Amino acid sequence: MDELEIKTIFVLLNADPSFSITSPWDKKYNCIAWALMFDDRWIEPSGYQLDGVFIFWPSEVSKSYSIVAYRELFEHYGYEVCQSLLPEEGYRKVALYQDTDNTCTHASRLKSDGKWTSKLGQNEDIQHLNPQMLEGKDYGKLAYIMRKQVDTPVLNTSPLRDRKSSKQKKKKKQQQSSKKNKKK
Amino acid sequence: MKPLLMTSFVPILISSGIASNPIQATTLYNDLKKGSADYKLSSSAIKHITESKEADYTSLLNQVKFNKHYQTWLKKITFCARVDKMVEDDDFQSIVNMGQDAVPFIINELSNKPSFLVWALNFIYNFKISADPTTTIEEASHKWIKYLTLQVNG
Repeated sequence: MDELEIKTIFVLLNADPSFSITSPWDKKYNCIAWALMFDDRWIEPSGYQLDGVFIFWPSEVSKSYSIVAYRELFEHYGYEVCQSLLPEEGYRKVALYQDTDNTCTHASRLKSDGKWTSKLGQNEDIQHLNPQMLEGKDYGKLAYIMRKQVDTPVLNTSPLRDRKSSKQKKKKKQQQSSKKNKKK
Repeated sequence: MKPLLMTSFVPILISSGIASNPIQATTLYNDLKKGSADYKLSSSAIKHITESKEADYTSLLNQVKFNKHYQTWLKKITFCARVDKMVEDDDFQSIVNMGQDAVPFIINELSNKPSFLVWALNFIYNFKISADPTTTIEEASHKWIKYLTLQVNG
């Protein structure tokens, strides 16, 4: 999908100067996993065993799509409900969305630069000004703001990005050493 | 041979009509829709109906049915982040309920672009092609295509 198509669905993004697509579509993870900083699984309580996706839900958390169960899920990973959407030193923040039938529809995460990041279903990751920008027909309304204390200040790069960049560094090192070996 | 209803001819008439004359095809379709008794079939449409076998009609109708459900399903799941909603959806279930009739169209779609449609094969055949949780949708799609091609070719 391109930015224009996304803006057609999430109309508030038309007024969001910080909106952009930050990474291409990836079917290996969903928005909940992305908010929890996983990029290798779908986090949901369905229990289906299907090809091409690793569906995961912690056994300690209630198996339900209700917003309460999803709050429980984030609490399981160390988050607590808070009131403010603003960045706080030493905390990582997420926003949970709910439908009119109180089921969880989406989650977004506050990035280190003060903008929010979301994975749109099976599609792209985007950045947006605030969680309200995605409210509407598809994701319903904002239900909870949650925060988690992190060792590193919130303005540092995320562990997910660190993990990716360390993998890339390793690859580069391997390539360099193999080149050296060939020269020898 | 089972009798075919006139409404069943509509897509066939359109396709055969388009091949000969697109304007005439629209006229034919409109006539049929209105239930007009004095419509005229083009010679190519008559030839198509008389020469085609029942299997051709069935295949064409299956393709129309599959495409309709698949396109509707795709639109509905664009921003969906729940596997249960995607696989319990009415249009997805209609594809699954087509069983073996849907398989050639599924394989065709997966060959062009690997997608979550591969899950329909999990339901139709009732097994996973790979037990490895790190298998991607692309890899799973390719494995299914290879497996089903081997089945057909023996």
